[in-house]
Amino acid sequence: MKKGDFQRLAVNPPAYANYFGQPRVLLGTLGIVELNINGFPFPGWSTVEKSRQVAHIILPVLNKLKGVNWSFQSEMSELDSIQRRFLLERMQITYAMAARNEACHVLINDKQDMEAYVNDEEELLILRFFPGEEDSISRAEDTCRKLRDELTELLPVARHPKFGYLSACPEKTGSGLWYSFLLHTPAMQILNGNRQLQTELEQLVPMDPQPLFPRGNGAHAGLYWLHTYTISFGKAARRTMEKLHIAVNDIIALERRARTRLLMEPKKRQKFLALLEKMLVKTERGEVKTFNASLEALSALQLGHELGLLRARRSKASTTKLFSAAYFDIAPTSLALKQKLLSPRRRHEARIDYLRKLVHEKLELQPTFRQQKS
Amino acid sequence: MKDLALCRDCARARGVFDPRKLSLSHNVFPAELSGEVEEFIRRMLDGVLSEGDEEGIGEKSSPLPDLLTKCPTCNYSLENYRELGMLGCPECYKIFASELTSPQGSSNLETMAHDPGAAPDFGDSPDMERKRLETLLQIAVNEENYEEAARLRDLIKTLPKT
Repeated sequence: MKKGDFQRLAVNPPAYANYFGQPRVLLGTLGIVELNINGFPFPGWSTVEKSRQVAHIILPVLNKLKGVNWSFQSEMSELDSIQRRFLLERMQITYAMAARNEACHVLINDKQDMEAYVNDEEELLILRFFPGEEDSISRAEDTCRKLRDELTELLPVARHPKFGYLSACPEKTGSGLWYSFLLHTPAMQILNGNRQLQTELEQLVPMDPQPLFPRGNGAHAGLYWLHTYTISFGKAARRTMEKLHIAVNDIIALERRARTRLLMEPKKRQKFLALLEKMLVKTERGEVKTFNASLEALSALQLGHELGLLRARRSKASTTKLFSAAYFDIAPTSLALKQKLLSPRRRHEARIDYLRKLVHEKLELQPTFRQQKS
Repeated sequence: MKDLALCRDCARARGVFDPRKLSLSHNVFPAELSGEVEEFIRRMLDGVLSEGDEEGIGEKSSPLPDLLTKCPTCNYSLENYRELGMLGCPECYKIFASELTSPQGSSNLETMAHDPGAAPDFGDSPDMERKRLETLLQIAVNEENYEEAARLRDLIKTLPKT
């Protein structure tokens, strides 16, 4: 069953996009609820027929959830390869889900801050995004717990009295829910601090930093997604979460310190100003064309604007909004889907044009510092 | 175990004197396995009863090891788990419980099994707690673990009524 218009979904970016480039480091928290149905094989080992039965059990319950308006719902077999790639690029499906067809369903709510996967790695996986950095973790915890309990009431979920909620991976037994954090650390990226930070954090808590956007290897523009490798539950889970909280607070403090260093330390400041100049020139000359290079340019210019080193023609709120949308507008599948640009060369041209218009026409970014003569 | 006092005729009628008709497997093994177990018992008895049978158990491998290492719901084997570190279905947690909690199994799960906080304890409501205890009680009764069942029954009684 397909419900909702994909183009309409594509026009509006996911909820977390609205928080890109805000002065905050932690863009938000992703709460994840994972459940399986009793008496059925986990999706990786299930037959299509069994998976269909699972979907028949789960889908009506999802549609009855209180306060949730699914504006898009589709079986994976109804989505073409570009649509799948598009959802994958925006973190709205997983790689495993992108490869699936019959009996696997994706549901996205109207605000695009909640997604449900049926027959992905687990039989039911719900992702819920909570923006902000002050209370997003506690809000995620409360809301996801309520959601999990509500689903436990409505579905015959697989739960063991000793091990808790059951999943295909026994190391995640008892989970039912876990959290991850979406971070943006452009200053540390510029100071090459992310790699060192990652090594230090891994000693504190075993975790898996993945690129937030784009999906793939290597976090560009300091955008990444932090979650634990495995999580055991009950007391052990609380200890892990406490460590993760400490780690996230450390990252926030380090990024803020890196921003201060970029402003206050003469050598670092010179390096950053040179980078901003370079980015202004390169976007004007049309030398930034690949997606990753564009992300780096956007991230640096936006940071320069936030730190008062670049002045824009528009208000701060309007500038932030335009920057945030840009991260998604220049993505490969976004260009392929919206403008039917299928060849890399045409996408490069579109990106060059987009960045030039954004930086030099819409925002008219100008340095507030004295430019060096080249 | 169930004791039956039967007269000779009743015993004959129930097939007690012909072991091949005695269906123990229904009482011991899950329904899905009973067919395979019966087949195994029949072949074993055939081998014992008919000496010199070419298809005796000594000459043909027994299906029993397979039965103990495969999940009847999803057909997932212990070897699969050892290789991939993942399980096939919720039933696998019961079938492979000893492997999962052994030092060779998942060390994480082993820690959890000995951690009183292993089961979800995110501040369950009394309703949830009651349901959890009732499930545990049902399991204890099914396993004929009456001491544990009595303890759980008393715990349920202490919960506030909703």
